[in-house]
Amino acid sequence: MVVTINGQTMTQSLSFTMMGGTKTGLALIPNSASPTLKTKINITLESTFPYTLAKSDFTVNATNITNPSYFRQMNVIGVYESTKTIEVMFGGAYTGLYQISIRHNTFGLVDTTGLQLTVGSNVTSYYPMQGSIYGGTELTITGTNFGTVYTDNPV
Amino acid sequence: MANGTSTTNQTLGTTHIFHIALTKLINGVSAINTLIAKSTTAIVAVALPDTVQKSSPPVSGKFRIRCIDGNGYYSDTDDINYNENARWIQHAVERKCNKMYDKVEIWRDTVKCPYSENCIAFWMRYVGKNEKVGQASIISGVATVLGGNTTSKQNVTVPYGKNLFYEPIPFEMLRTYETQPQVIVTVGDNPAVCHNLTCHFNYSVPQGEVTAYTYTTATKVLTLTGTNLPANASLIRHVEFAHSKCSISASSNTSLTCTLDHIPVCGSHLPNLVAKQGSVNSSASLSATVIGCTATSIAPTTQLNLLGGDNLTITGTNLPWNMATSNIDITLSDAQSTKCIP
Repeated sequence: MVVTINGQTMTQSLSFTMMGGTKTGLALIPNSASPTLKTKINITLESTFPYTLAKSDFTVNATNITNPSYFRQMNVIGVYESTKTIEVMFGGAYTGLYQISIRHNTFGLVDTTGLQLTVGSNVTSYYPMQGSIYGGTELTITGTNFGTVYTDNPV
Repeated sequence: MANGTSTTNQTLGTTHIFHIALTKLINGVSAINTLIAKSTTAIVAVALPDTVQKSSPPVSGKFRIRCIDGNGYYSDTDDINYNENARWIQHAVERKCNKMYDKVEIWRDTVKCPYSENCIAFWMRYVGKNEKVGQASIISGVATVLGGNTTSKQNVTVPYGKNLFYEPIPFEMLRTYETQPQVIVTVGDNPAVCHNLTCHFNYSVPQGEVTAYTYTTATKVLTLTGTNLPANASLIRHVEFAHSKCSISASSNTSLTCTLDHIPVCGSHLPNLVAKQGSVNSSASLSATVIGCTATSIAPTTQLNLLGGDNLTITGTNLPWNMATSNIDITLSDAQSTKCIP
């Protein structure tokens, strides 16, 4: 290892031994979130994760795949040791595809290959598609990642 | 000046004001006769002529204002009732006299013609008209003829007082030509104005010079020697060496002694003496002191994560106590030259 501080170099002859393997994040539920509303997300780790889960030990980020300089940190709001699940709160981000990264203070990085979060909200249909010119027609809009509170969905 | 010519003599600055006046209608005579006491037994009544007590003839009908520009061209307003108020007259003028739009003020002269008196008078003043100001006059209305014959106009030229040359000028319109560096201050996004518009900044020749120094590692004592140094600590803003402030224990014109507040950080360093008037020059002959650092241990070294993310703790001497002020690079000697980010 070479350590350089203000131009002064120290060389340490060290041998590091690495773990035999990695631990993986298995599931991301849900894997889609609203860009504007807060969403609780559960991330399940391998059952053999070697440490007892604690909220303060984890740092979880969502990094935009097309623009890696843009990332959102997610707060860990709960851990469930029996299922090796951590619960995080996603606060919203620009629409896009995000790679999840998880770091444990002691263990280090968790393999999150395949754990991707889709951020976006879409209208898939609305009915009826015609109505009175004087108004009064009840419209039903169907889509993804709408809020469960009707005031969260201004139309 | 209002004729478009600039002037530097404030006594030549003038304002042009026109006075337009109409006599007001008097419906009845004010007095019929007066009594004169000739003696204790006889009273003589003297009749006053009715005709001279009324407007002769009283004002009636409508009038127009003819706006004449500096080149003699004119335009007339629409008919205006003889007893119209100043605001409506201004509206009529601005509507028909394009060159006076937004450049004329009309108000009632309540000094010369109070509301209790039988007359009506208005002042008309040009504002911000940077050309020949022209004249204005009253003419009879077209659809309804103006009655009475007591119209008048007056051109008054009033010099400004010595205390105020121009109308108040907004700060945004001020521009000064400076030959010295200026201190520019903004409060939020707004520019601040300096007292008397003077924001000069003077660069001064540095006083004194540090010609030599010594640093004792064991005691962390730094001693500067030089010429014309600040004589006492109150004239010194700070002394810095090896990323550490230095507490002054003694100072004179030729030497200064201080003790570092922190363990010096490794690197190549020169002392930095900053007086209240700015940095004190250091002699070009000064050579930097190299302070080395050591790493006595690094942990952990086992069971490191293949993906990274482990916290490595490096223990040693003269390591930075504030990572923001030091350049630190840690590279593992593996095939990928893996970086460790402090």
